[in-house]
Amino acid sequence: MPPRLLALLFALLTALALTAAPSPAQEAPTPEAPSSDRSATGGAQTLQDILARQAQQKIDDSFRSDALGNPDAAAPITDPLGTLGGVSDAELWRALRYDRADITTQARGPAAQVLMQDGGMTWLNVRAQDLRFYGGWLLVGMLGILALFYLLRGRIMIDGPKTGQTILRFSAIERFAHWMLGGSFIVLAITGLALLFGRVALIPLIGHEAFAPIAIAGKWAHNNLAWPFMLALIMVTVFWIAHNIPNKHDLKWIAVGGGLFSKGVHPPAKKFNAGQKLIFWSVVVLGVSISVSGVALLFPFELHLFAPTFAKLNALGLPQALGFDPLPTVLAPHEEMQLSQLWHAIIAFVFMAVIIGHIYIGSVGMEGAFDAMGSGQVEVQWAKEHHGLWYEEVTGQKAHGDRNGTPAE
Amino acid sequence: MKSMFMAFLATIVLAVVADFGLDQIGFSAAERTISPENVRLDE
Repeated sequence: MPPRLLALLFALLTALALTAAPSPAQEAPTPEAPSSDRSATGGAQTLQDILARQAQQKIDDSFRSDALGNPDAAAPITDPLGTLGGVSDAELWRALRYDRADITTQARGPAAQVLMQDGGMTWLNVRAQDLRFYGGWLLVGMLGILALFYLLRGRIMIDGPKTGQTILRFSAIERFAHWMLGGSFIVLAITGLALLFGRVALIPLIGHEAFAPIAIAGKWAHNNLAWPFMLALIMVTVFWIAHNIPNKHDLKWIAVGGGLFSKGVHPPAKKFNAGQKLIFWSVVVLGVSISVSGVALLFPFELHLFAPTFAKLNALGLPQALGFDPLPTVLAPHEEMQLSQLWHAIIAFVFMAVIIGHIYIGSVGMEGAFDAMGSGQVEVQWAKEHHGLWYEEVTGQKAHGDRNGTPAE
Repeated sequence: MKSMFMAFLATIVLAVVADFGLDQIGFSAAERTISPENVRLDE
């Protein structure tokens, strides 16, 4: 089957799937429950409270969270009808749930004394529904767009006659850093997706017994490949940051869409064009963000990133300006971990979408592009067309290309 | 292509070193929660 036909098929299937896919249940704004008269129950919850909860109405549950017993007012156990501490079982469980119980645990690990955490259910639901749904479709949508682009534009070829000569585009150490970053990223992405989608996609397919070793190996790889990823991220940042400072040529590149949509258009570009700069800065910003949140997950409960960040955002007035309530600034250790996990996954999906585009244009999407990171040597005509100013800097010769547009890699 | 394969090899080596190193310095999430040192047996 010809590649273009395959691309058309894939693009059509993606479009069909995107339009037909059900979205996760959208929650309507939670209505407030009317205040309840609890005198008949001595302050305990009423049938009205239970019905309101079943109707998913918002309830002021301070009548429960504050009803934790009163040991000071309790009769001593030596007295008639005395109690052991003046706290009933129900009151003790409530205290545990609202993290207000004075408890001692045998485990000394971090946050070991938080036995119940309501927010965990919110995290579980977001992870199991929204994250999988929107993240999954972001990746499928990106693949569909690329298939459509390939269908419409085809492979971007070298326009001029090939010279048969090559020029060194990236040194060995640059390629080494790139592939360490790329290799670790691909494994991190695949193992991360396997951990997130394993329960819904892999277990029904291969069964629990086969999935278990995959999950264990995936977790090991995901945890430990984080280090070469971070090292390589530092390396490429140091190597290429100076080349990725925006300049006036980027505006010309953007003005003609980088030549992505028309043949024979090659605007001037230095070592990196505007599209590549966009990829570079995406990798740096997303890479740092995913690394910091990843380290917070690697060392549980050691880093508290979100409470201080929320406090700063509140001080800036950002949530309020967008019409939201101020963000919570007191977070349980588990909440910090849950937010780190969600943030890590959201960034990962955006990162993967960007890198899928990068892989496409650096391989099947453009003739000669892979050589830059493969052997390091690129065809001279390719260099003249796509990086004319860089070619002139390196060789001292004029790049006789038509400077109207060149795509990113 | 040699750089690419060298990078992949270095990636694996670094991952193994990281795993071994973190274990050696005693920082593993499992140890911090379930190892005998972290269980209060005296109270």
